[in-house]
Amino acid sequence: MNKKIITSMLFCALLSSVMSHAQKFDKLDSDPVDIAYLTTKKIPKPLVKVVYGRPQKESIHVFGDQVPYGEIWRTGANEATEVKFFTDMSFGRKLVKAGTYVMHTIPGEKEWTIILNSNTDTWGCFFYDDTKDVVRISIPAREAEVVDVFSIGFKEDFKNTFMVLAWDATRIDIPLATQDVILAKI
Amino acid sequence: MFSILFLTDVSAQEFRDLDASPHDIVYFRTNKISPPKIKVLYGRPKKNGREIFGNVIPFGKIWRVGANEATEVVFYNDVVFGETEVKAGTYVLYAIPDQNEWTLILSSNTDVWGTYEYEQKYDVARATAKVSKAEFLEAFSIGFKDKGKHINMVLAWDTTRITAPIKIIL
Repeated sequence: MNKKIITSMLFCALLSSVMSHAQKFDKLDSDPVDIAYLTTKKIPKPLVKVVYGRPQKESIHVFGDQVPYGEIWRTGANEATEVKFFTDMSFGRKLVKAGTYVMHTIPGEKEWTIILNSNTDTWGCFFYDDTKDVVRISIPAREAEVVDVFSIGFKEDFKNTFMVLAWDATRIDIPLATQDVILAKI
Repeated sequence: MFSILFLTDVSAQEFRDLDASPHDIVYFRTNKISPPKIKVLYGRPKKNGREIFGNVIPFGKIWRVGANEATEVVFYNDVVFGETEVKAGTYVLYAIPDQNEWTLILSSNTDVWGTYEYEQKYDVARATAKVSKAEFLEAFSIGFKDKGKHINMVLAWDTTRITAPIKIIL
């Protein structure tokens, strides 16, 4: 027997041993999924839920390098980032109906574009279709201390609520408000 | 006038660390490019040398089927779960592990933490699931197997496998 035949036999044996496994399960992701909720003390259910992948910083500057400026970004890792509003809300001062959306962003040096799109359960931005856009807003980027893992959180600041996107030294504050809050301010 | 909502305090500088038991998403699709039929969002604890079923996770007690936030199942079509018809929608999956057979529970009370908020009145369906043995897995895993007429949802951890048949109503 020559080497080629032995190699191919070995390969077949390996292949069949792999295929004989009853079932495969996914390995743990290096950029794991996390969930962020916006809750209030007044109502038991959350107002907003974000499900997103959390990649790690791998270069000196994340934005403009690891994540390029001017290109659409899945705003996380793996599956596209999903935002669920449990009630109608304003998102960056635009009204959004209760429901589930995919959130993409276009990072920029001074300003980011934030997009909510109704084409949910997609992978990355490969299926991005701008005809399914529900909201497009611009938010100025601000600087803060470095966080190594991409993070989404919520903060309250003088009765204003923000969804905060945080990675490296960049922060994006997206103003959020429920109908109650909007009405209270009129 | 005082209808302003008081939100939980999250300081600008505080972002959560990565979870020790990270969440993961698994989809069931009939083929790679078709829209999903089922989605599961669940926490993936690790065995870390512990004895899992019957010890860390006791038999006969309700379990969150994962870690941290309760496990969430989305059905994109109506399904038959065990013997019960279930409408398309989002549910929380709980389980009561046991030696030979598990009880799986779908609850309509979603967005809850662990099993602390479990209430039987929100049960939508209960199904029994078979226990079998297979190769060792360090991280708790959920997967699907297309059996043609139905799908097996498989819960897998350590050498234990739990198989629950789900039929999609088209």
